[in-house]
Amino acid sequence: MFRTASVPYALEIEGLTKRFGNKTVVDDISFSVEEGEVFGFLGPNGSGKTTTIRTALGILRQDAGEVRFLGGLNAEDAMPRVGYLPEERGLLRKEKVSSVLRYLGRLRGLSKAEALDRGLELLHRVGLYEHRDKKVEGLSRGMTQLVQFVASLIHSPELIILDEPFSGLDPLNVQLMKEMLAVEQARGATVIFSTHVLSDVEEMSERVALIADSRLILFGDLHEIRVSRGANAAVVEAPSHPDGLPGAQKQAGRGGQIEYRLSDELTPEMILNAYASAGIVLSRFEQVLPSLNDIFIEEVSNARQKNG
Amino acid sequence: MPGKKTADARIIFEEEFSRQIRRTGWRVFTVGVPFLMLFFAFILPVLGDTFFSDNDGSADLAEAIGFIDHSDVTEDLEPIPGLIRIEDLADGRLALVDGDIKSLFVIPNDYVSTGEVDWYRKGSGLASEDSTGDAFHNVLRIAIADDALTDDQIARVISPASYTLFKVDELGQTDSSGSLQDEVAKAAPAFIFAMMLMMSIFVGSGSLLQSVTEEKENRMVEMLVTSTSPMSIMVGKVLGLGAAGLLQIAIWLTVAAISVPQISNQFSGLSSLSVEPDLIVLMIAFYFAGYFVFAALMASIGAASTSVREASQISAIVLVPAVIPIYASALIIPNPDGMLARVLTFFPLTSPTASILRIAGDTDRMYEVVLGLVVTAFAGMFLLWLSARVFRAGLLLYGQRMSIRSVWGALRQSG
Repeated sequence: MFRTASVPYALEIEGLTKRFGNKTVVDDISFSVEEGEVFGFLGPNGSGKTTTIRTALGILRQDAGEVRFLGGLNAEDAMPRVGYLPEERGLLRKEKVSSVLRYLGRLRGLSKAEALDRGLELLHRVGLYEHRDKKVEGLSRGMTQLVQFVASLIHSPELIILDEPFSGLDPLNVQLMKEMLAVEQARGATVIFSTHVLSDVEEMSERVALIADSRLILFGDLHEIRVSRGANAAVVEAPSHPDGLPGAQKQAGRGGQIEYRLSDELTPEMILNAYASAGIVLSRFEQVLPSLNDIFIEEVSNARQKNG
Repeated sequence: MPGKKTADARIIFEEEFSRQIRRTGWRVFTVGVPFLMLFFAFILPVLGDTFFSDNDGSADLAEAIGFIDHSDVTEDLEPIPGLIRIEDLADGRLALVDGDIKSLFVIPNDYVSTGEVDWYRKGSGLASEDSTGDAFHNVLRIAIADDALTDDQIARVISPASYTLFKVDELGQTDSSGSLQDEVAKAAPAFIFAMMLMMSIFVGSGSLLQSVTEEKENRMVEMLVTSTSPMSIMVGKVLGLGAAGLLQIAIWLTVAAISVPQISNQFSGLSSLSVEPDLIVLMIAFYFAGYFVFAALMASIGAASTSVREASQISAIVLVPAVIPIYASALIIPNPDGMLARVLTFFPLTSPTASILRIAGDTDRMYEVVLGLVVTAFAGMFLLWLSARVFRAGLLLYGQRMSIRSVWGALRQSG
């Protein structure tokens, strides 16, 4: 699973296992995240994403396996250089926004003044500067989430780990957060985020890890994964289409375009032969790689079938 | 990274301390207790004067008493201020109803042989707790002894003795002396200190319980444990809130030091109150030791609980033992070296208050008090270490119902 890449790793997880009593919630998971990339950690609800992250960060003790941060550091030593947004949101409700940021910034190694300055600067960027003197309990849930996001970036961490960062946010704030993460990546930071929203991963990540039922079922470069799967559909553009071809699933409408779902019963050759036999001239024929959504559904379904 | 852990503990200490002293509850309590102290300082001398007034050999009455004498035993009785002779029962009842007298005593003609007297009272309250009965005893003593005894002898019948105490140690040496009032004057500050100690420990450890539970309930705790170690969090919190408690005690002592001498000019009962410097030193030492014990226990409960409500309910189990010595003070102070006092000295939850009360009772075994302090201090340190582990383990109990089994399981997993 581990590569000898020229790019050093920001996070390496090897054989990570976590059990609660007799239940294994993280089962021998291994993957690595390269420095400077935005990495998508995918999985359906309850698959073990949060427990994997908590165990990797040392919040929970692992039963087996090894985790190395930023070129070989353990969790405790790496923490000052890591920013973390937990899945379960929350801050000191009775405290002012700026006080909470100052407090967390100081614990991340900043001086009082630095923590306050950086906190206010980030509040500016997320549009919450006017709320700096409000108590946390006076903020909406989305605002609290943004403040917590700010807290995870306050010390300009080298590795940013975000557990379901976009859940519960409106599209504008999701976009804002993505833009800020792009800035962090441009600065050189590595970003790992967990989600079950596939479009976010396709938009932001080049490499992914997919877990289902506590096990890693897919890991690697997203494009390579799609290519390795081969085309699972073919798009044909023609003035008309022959009848009786199985797997015609989607009518795009414009320009007589149709998409065929490929299978053993319907190969690209069979489609081309059918059009040739009918004397229809194709204006476009394109084999389509599987979408992440297709891969996700297929892999998770297979994993569940395998596990009974 | 020990340097970072210490720095983090200091940051948490500063934050918790400043957060605590900004809390309205803390401020109200800090100001409220001195007010209560002043209130008691006013009430105490008044009670003291009333209490000791019976011992001065006179039969002067604080409130008017009426009496009807059918036995002629009071025939030659000199007039006593407040004592009103009434001839007729109906008049007496009327005087009682009108509030002219507080009680009416009717002495039957066979009183000397039977000792029976009828007592008419108005209003509620227990007659056995009414000092009027004792006061009329004195009236009858004077009346009976009037012909046979001198005034001095009558005074001694009423108040047989005012004791001067001589304390003899195990070698037969007399090491101190004084009156009963001196003893009370010496014991009172220690008793008040014990109360203050307990209250301050309760406030500090209660705040810690709240702080830990809220952070867990708010999910803030995950941010904290990825920023620093559980031990730094616990040490910072415990010391920060402990320092706020100590500041509270310092304010109370300062108010007491300033106000008591001034009040004592007006009230005789306070003038003899004496505060030994070693009592203050011991109190501060016991404050820290006791606070560590309770704070660590509270933090553990907070860390293992899933809500503020649940934590508050369980914390009562821990707090009740701390009150036991205060309730048992009537047994501990008169018998500071008794089995009860000694046992409570070595139990960390009761040691702080029990030890201070033993000092109030002028214990002969100060070494046991010091030993109790050492035991409590070590228990505090151990519990602080344990609380960091429970705090760590408590993270595993998100959303779970707390049980001894689940906490134990989490503790093992966190190890």
